[in-house]
Parts: sequence; structure tokens; C-alpha cells
Amino acid sequence: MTDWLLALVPQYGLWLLAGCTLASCLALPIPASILMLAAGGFVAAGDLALVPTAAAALVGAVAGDQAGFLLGRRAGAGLIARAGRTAAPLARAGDLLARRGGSAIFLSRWLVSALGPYMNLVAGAAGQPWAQFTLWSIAGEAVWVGLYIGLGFSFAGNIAAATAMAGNLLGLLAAGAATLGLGAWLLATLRAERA
Amino acid sequence: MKSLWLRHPYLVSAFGLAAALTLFFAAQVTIRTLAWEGHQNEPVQAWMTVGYVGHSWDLDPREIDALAGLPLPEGEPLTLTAIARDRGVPVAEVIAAVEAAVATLRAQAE
Repeated sequence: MTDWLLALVPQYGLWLLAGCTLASCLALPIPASILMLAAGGFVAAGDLALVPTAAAALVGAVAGDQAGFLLGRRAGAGLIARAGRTAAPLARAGDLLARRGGSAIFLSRWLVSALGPYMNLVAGAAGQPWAQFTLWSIAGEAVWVGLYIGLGFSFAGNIAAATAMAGNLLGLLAAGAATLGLGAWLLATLRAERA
Repeated sequence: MKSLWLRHPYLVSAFGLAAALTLFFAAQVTIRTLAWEGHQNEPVQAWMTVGYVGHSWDLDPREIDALAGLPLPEGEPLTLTAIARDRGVPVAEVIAAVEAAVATLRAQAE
């Protein structure tokens, strides 16, 4: 199916890209990342224009996030009303997301993008402020789109190499963040012991 | 150092594992970036356009068109699948013609 979708990119480029990023933000199994890598390659080859291509992917992704968020808000409110005993922890989760949810929304757009669609639903259900959600969603999707179209552009002419590079870059960022976090924890522990 | 390991075995091993993974990915990114030569000779596939093939093999797409007997592009770019469909031939035939043209042009360039 991926090859079949890829063949449609130069022909229906912008609509196809927007549709696929939208669908993938709703947890539909569409290889949107590979499509963006290919689109970046077509941009480098001169078959697609950069700005409309990136804009189409971004608009699709943000629209998908909005759809998930609104769905969560509609369906989630009903769930919370019927939650009974679990209403308090749900409200606390919502509270936490409202206070510190920005970075979770941001990172689940691109670093752990598999979580993105579910985060949209949860954020909507938890009553996260719409403007805050939208801002972080746009920022995160811009990184996602920029990363993949940029890699597709730089590694144009070899999707396998671009895919491997994307995986390694994301791995590097995640492992680096974990190292920093654990290092800080270790230092804090040592200081506490010395004190 | 040893006592630190004994006092916090899980925390220290988690830190070590994360640091090792970071180094591994950093090495991968560095090696792959250095090994990259600007074009990477990706095998010709049905979803590609002639422009894409040309970019991948560092060749002028219009020379590939001419050598493979393909129509020069008018309007939107065509994938090899679309070219084959327009001509009513199997896509394998178009891929073979493009591969032959690429081989000839690469041989000329060297």
C-alpha cells in the first residue's frame, strides 16, 4: 500500500499529504512519515514546491489534532459525568494536563508520535484549554512536518537512508533526554546523601 | 564509585544504559551523515518520477527521458506508473528502459 500511496504523491501531492497527516493524527494506520519523506524527495527533485507541500502536511496534521480534541471534549465530558468514583482522579489528571500538559502535547506530536492521537482525546476529555492545546499542537506538528520533509529533502533519492536517519535522530533525542534526566536525578540523590 | 553502584543499582544502571544508547545513536547519526554523498543511487521504482530518479542518481532527468524514449514532461510531473498507464504498457517495461538509460548515462559520466 505504501508504494501505491507514494505513486500518488507527485500527482495529488498536497491534498494527499494533508489527508494522510490528518488521518494519521486520528490513529488511522497511514504511513504519513514515509509519505512526508517522499514528498521532501520530490521537492528536492523539483516535482513539488516546498512551501505548499509543508503547509499542506501541517494543515492536515493540525486539523486531525483538532478533530481528536473536539471528539474527546464531546465524548469525554459524558464519560466524566458518569465516572462516579473515578471522577476525582480524572479531574486531577485533567488538572495536571492543564498545568503541565503543554510539553506532553508538544512531544507527543513528533518524539513519541504514536501517542499523539490518544493524547488529543485525553486532552479534550480532560478539559485542557483549547487555545493552549492548539498552540502546542501547532508547534509540535511543525517540528514533525519539518523534521520529515527536511530529512526527505536532504536525503532525497534514498528513502531507506532518510527513514533510518529519522529513527536514529529520534532515538538520539529520546536517549539524550533520558540520560540528562537520570543524571540530574543521580546528582540530586548524591547531594541529598551528603547533606 | 563502587559504593554509589551498590547504593543505587537501578538508578546507576538506568543512567548507564541511557548514556550507552545516546552514544550509539550519536554514532549512527554521525556515520550516516558522513557516509552520505549527496545522492544515493536508490533503485528505480514505479512510484518515482524521472526527476526523482535523476536527483537520486545525480543525472539530468531530461537526458534520461531522451535516452529511455519517454515523453518530455508537460504540466504536472508523471510517475513511472502514470507514464506506463498513458502508454498502455506494463510498468516493468518503463522501469527497465529508465534503468538502462541510467546505466548508460552513469557509464558515460565515469
